[in-house]
Amino acid sequence: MSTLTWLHTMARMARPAPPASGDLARPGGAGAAWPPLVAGLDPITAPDDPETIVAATLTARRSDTDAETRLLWGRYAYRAAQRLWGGACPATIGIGRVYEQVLAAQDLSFDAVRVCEQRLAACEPGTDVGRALTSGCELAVALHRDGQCEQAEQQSRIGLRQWQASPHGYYGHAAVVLLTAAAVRAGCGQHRAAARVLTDDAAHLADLDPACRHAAAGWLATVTITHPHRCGATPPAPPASGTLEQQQRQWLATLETLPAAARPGAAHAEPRMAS
Amino acid sequence: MTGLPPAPRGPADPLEQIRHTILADPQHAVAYLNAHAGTLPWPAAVTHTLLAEAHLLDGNPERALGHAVHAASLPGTALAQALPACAVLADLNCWTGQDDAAEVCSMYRDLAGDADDPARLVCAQALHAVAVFQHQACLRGRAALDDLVRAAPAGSAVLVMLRHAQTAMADSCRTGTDPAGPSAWTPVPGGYLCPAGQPQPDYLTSRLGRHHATHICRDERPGPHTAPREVPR
Repeated sequence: MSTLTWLHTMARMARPAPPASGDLARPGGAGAAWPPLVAGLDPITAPDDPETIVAATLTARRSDTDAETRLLWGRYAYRAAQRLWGGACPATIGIGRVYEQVLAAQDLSFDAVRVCEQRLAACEPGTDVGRALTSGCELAVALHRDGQCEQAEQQSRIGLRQWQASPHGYYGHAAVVLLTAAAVRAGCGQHRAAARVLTDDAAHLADLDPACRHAAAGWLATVTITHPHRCGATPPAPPASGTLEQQQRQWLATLETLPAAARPGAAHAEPRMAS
Repeated sequence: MTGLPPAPRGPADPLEQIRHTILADPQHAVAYLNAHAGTLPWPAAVTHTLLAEAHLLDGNPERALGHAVHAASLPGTALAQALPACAVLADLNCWTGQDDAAEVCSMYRDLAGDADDPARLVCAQALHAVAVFQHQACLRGRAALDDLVRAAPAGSAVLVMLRHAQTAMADSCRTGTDPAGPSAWTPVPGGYLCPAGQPQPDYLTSRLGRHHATHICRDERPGPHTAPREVPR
């Protein structure tokens, strides 16, 4: 998954809103005219059939569907995909993300943590270390959103250590690991620590293009603004100051002035080992 | 269930027959494939990919997506069958405007790269550029397409397709509107209905024109990445 795609996914989870889906197609397009394949079926007893799984996923995504229906079909799709294709299949992982988004939108953050745990567990026996690293970061973000801030920070540290311990394998995941660590800290009011995570390994964020920096700033700002009201950190973090736009400008300024970001070849530097 | 009509030319190759039937009468092809699913002389992934293409041509993208996902997710599928399945899946994600279309296209791109299939690789990269243009950032999609245009062989069908899309993207950025494109379906190159190296000229624009663009080119922030660029000719 590209960094930008990942950031968009995280931003949608952090700021639950009607998600984009086929119904954003132009009037008269495919999304508007699709037959309701799940009509007449019960999400509890529906068979593990690919057409039904995909139809259920699309139903769960649609913003014009009521919350309970989205939840039931999202849960069906995720569990049926696990049974039919296995937890490590990309389709199951994608459907799991849709279900996680439905859970986040309905404030069921504990269930979203379970989905992330299952995704990580499905990845670990395999050889795709990049996916496992990304899944670990997503678990950290989900724990944080659920108010399990200590566990979230612990999980983000595990991600940092895994990344730092394998300098030749994880360069493509530097942004995911570092931004996750920054988001967890920023949400709990540790703004300096969050900024330090970014600046200490700034060389590895040199590849972030403007679109990624904007998306990252937006996500960090959203976490900073929305997280503290149920933060499990001790002592409780003070509420973030400023509007979302102000926070976003601050994070963008931080990302745009990272010391080594403009240095040619900086991204190939060795990761800084944790002290 | 009646059998398949003979292919218009060549020997009675079952795959060629079903291709012909899908293009001529997709409903009949769907009925035939469903009725004979257990006895067809190819792996299940091929059947589901063909069903996906037939359903899409017949105007059932939701059903098509189900079969494409299944075809691409079946364990133990050989690369030769996984590539067309992924081509159709990536295409369907773009056609139906799924917000993770870029991610699915990048998986197809990676698979085509691993398989050392240059014709599919360029189609996958082009489709990825379209998905990025629509869902992430117009300028990123255009930059990726510009790279492909520069690398495409002169006079090739691929270059014609890429240039059509390049022009449509540039026009969309210049006017700040959604890209224009034909609404009619065209087969995905690299599936079973169209060879990867012979895409139809308006294939990409037909996908481009179905969904909104994510314009960042009119961002008021200063900087070299925020202004619309001229498309190299």
